[in-house]
Amino acid sequence: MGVMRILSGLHRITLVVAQSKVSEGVPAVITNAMFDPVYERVLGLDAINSSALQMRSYMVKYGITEEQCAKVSVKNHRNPKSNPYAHMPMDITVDEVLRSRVLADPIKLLDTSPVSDGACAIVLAEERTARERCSRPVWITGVGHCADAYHLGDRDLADADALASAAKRAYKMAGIQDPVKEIDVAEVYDAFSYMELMWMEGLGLCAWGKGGSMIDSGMTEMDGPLPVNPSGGVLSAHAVQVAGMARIIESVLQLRGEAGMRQVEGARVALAHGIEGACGQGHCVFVLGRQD
Amino acid sequence: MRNRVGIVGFGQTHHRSKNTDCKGQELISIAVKRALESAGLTISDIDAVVIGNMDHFESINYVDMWSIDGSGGFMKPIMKVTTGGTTGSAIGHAGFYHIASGLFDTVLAIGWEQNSESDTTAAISTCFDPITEREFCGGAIGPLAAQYTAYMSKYGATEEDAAIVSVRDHKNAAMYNPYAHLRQTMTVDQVMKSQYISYPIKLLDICPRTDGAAAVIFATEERARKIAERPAWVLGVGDCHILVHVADGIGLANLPSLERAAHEAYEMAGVTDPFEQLDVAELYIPASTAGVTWMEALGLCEEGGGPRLIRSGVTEMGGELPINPSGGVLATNPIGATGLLRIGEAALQVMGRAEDKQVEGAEVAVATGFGGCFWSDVTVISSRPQLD
Amino acid sequence: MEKDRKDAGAISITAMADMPYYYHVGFYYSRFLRELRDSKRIVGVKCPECEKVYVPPRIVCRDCFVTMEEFLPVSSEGTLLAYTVTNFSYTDTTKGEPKKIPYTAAYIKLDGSDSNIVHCLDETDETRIKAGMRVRAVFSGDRTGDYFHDIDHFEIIEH
Ligand SMILES: [Zn+2]
Repeated sequence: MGVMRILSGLHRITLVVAQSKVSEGVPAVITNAMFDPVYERVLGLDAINSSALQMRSYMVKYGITEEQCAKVSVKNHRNPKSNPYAHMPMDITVDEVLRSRVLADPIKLLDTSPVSDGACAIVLAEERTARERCSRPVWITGVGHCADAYHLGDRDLADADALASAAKRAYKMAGIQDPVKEIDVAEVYDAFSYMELMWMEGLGLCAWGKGGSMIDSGMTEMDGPLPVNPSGGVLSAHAVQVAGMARIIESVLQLRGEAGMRQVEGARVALAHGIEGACGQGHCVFVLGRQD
Repeated sequence: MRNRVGIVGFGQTHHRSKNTDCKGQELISIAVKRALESAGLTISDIDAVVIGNMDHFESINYVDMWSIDGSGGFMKPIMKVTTGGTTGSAIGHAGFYHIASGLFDTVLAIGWEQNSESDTTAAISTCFDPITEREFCGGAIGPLAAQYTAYMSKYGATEEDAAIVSVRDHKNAAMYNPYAHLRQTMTVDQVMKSQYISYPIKLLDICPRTDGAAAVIFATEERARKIAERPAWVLGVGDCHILVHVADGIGLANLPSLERAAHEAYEMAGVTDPFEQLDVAELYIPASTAGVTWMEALGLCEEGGGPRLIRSGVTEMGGELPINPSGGVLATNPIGATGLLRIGEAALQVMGRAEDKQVEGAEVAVATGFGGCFWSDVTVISSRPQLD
Repeated sequence: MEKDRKDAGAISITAMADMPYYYHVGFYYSRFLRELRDSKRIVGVKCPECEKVYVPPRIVCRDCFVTMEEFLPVSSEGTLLAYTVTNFSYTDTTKGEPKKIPYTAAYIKLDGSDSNIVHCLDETDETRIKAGMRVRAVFSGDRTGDYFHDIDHFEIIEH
């Protein structure tokens, strides 16, 4: 909406603010209410156990292992050790993730993002104002969003079709033809460890079903060719309504070279991604570029 | 040069107090189908969807996701907008910005509510500060009632002035609007004798709780000209959210947010003399009292001139500036849809498609939205792509 | 046009969900509620730029958007700006119980404050209330720091 206000030519500068105090409510009750009130809610579905269904479908369809998912957790808790804004930076091992308490099989405690309180804000401006008022603006070059079917049973949970559509829109607007080559750093919505692998596929940053071998290859590590979630992602801070915009903020820091110890050298194009609804029913993709 | 935005379709349900035959998605799909039909479009012509309702009312979280089985938004970009009472008008404005941004060509904006599904007054109360205000405010009615005590004491307005507004809007609904929820005429005397709900507001002064949905289709200039012979152009939009604490709004006999939003929308549209230039108004008047107090904020009369304006008869059908030919909010209030209904009805007027409720020769219309802690939205719509 | 559907066998079901909430009232409200509880004082906070005094206190001035630090007591007497005698009950979301009626919601500007508060007035006969009247806070005997309950109600100051 902020982007639309600027693009409409009616507003020069727009402030976009998000805040979330997850600690004040009961997340299971609230996320249960995203399901159909008549015949899904009574099953006790919430964000965690519905995601467990998705993780299982993904593992079965593509032979992804729990170890591969655990590697995402290890990476995304290690990356933010130099991110002062992250909620849960820590050193953990794949083994520790695998042996952590099972919340809803196959999801374990350390596969899961924390309950966080937080707020964030960004300032958007139209091009001329941005050039005049800011020495290092970051440009929003592409944006796309899309939503899949509502009932979990209506979707193939193992494939993020709506994400593929949202990404296509964003890439088209940004003029990106080969996302793997052109994108230097990505911040994706890893509410659970397996999600990062699935979303990378939906984003076209790795082939369908290849999320597991991608993490094994080290491609998404800080020293790999496409670092993913240098900020620690959602696994390290999950203030729900804030977490999507936090991905944009980290991308901006990366593109401005202000990410400190977690800086991805020479990052020129960044991708930020957010989800909505159960198991990523809806997706939103931003492509951002550096001032040249 | 700004991108022009046209309205090319509008659909609504037959509104009722308790729509037990429909669940939310079914209600939404009826409004959407009627909107598509009115524009001669199919769902595949729609590039993006904006939808919203009141948080908490139906206990549906992520309403954008839930509604896909009725909205037609499957595998389309969907945006949720929920801003309390202004939800409907904000959805309309979001639809406007979708087009004005140049990102989309044809956008479906949907507002809906099943008021009958929950304790809505408790839900509305959650818009007030939880620690110091919530328990004293009395839902939506309390602050409006209190505002009128301040207005009466400042300007000498009476309860009867408000009753005239109630009589006018109910009469319009009964005579001209087959979709309206309450369709009965009443006299000033009947309104005056109805029971106090929240002094000085009486039973017949307030809006009902309604189940219903509305959908409006927005399009780029190029698309709009192809779709509709006479599209309605959105010439101005203004939104103003001020005051976090409702108590700060009440000290004021008037509505500064409406004044500011109207100023923005009028300026963008080129409206310099609203009473002269506007031909018809669809106003979010949730209680008859507001139909007196807020007229000056819209620039329709001098300060404190609400009672004079209402009593002069110019706002009746056939008058110089008819207000709420549809019967407005006092007759129909599915909250998430209410503001969007104002935009849709205003569009019908300037498109010349308002049927029985048509104001002859209407070319410029204003629609408003009201909500929360005294927030306002204003939209100026015209059959002309620009005012001279 | 799509027809409205009538179904004599339509089913409605009831869903009940507890939605407990744990408010962290924050630095400013904590101070406000503590002063009420411990000293029967109503405190506001003053904007360093425009010098407006806000009651209840809050972090930023809505006009100047600067952080406000200066707490100061305001009077427990003030002017009644607007009121309504509420005759319909609803769920009091602070307790989850029906609100007792009738009660009078009173919008008050306390002396020394530039913003208003809402509380209740111990008079429910609307013919005996007028906007502009002077009112005074009556504190609760048993003060707990919970919500705005340490002021029990406001009363009209008789002349
Ligand atoms: Zn100030």
